[in-house]
Amino acid sequence: MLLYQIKDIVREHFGRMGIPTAILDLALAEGRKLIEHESNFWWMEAEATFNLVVDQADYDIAASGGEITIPNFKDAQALFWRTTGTTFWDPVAFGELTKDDLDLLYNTDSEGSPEAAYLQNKKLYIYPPAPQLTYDMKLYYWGYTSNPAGNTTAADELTNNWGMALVYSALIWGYEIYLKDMQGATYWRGLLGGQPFGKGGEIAKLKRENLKRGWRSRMVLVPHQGPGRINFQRLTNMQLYPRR
Amino acid sequence: MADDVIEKTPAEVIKYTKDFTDLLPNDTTIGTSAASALKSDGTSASILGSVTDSGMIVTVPINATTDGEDYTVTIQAPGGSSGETREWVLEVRTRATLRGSL
Repeated sequence: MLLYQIKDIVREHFGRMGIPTAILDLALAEGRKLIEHESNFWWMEAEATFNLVVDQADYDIAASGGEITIPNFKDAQALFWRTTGTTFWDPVAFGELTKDDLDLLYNTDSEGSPEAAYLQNKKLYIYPPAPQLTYDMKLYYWGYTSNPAGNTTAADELTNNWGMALVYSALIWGYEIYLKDMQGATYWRGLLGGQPFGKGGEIAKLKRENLKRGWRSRMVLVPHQGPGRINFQRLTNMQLYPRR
Repeated sequence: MADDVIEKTPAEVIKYTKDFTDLLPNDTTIGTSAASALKSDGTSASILGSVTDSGMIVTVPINATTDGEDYTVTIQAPGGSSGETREWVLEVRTRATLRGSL
């Protein structure tokens, strides 16, 4: 659906004069956040590039004014680095150690290419903390998204294929905040997320779709130990056939 | 928040009139009135004709608009003698198929 169609559906529940457009826009914006709080969904994926500064250890993530420009940052996925001018990226260990562990592992003047990183609120700490080159960095992250700018602007994933989720979430906000109708809001909340919230409704469908898309991007081999241990085989002797 | 809301089809041309007598009680005429229109994404929209006024009534022609768009039209009327300037915000919703009482 285009945004104006979603607006018209929501308006019909309040009366087309019953809700000011400014309030409706707020309901839709907060409704989208209500959905995106539930998980890191595929349409929220993005990447940002930046360069390290010589001898600088921390980098602010901000919509503007920070070293890493990301509006509405939500969560980090992975961090890569490369020497400027090269064509290959290398991974940075991200989120595997806590900041206090990393502060113990590295001297405050340790130099070298990025080996580890830690995200504290919206500040990214790079280790070793005194890089001697302006390495290229690429941060893969999830960010909160916004509704299309205009009524007839091309729809995004949420408005195009999951429009009713946005309708339900906007109605929850409108019924609670604008109409003060908690019973009505509860009804729409059930359609959006089921009971308990997030385990049913449109949110559950979104999470299942998110899981399907996530599985395609990585394969993890987990050796079993204990009573359920299986016989190990050398990988060179084993054919792996990923199921489509 | 809009002071008034109207619906129109994309091809309709409407002359919207607003009497500023209540908003400018100390005036009997209007100075140089003006009107501007914005689309839902905040950009300027070229949907208005030439604004005219007679006495305290301002007339704003609204020309062809895009289906699905919600326009915010701001009509500005300076009082002829009071020194006051009042604005009237009109929301124009363009729908080819969704009609009926608001």
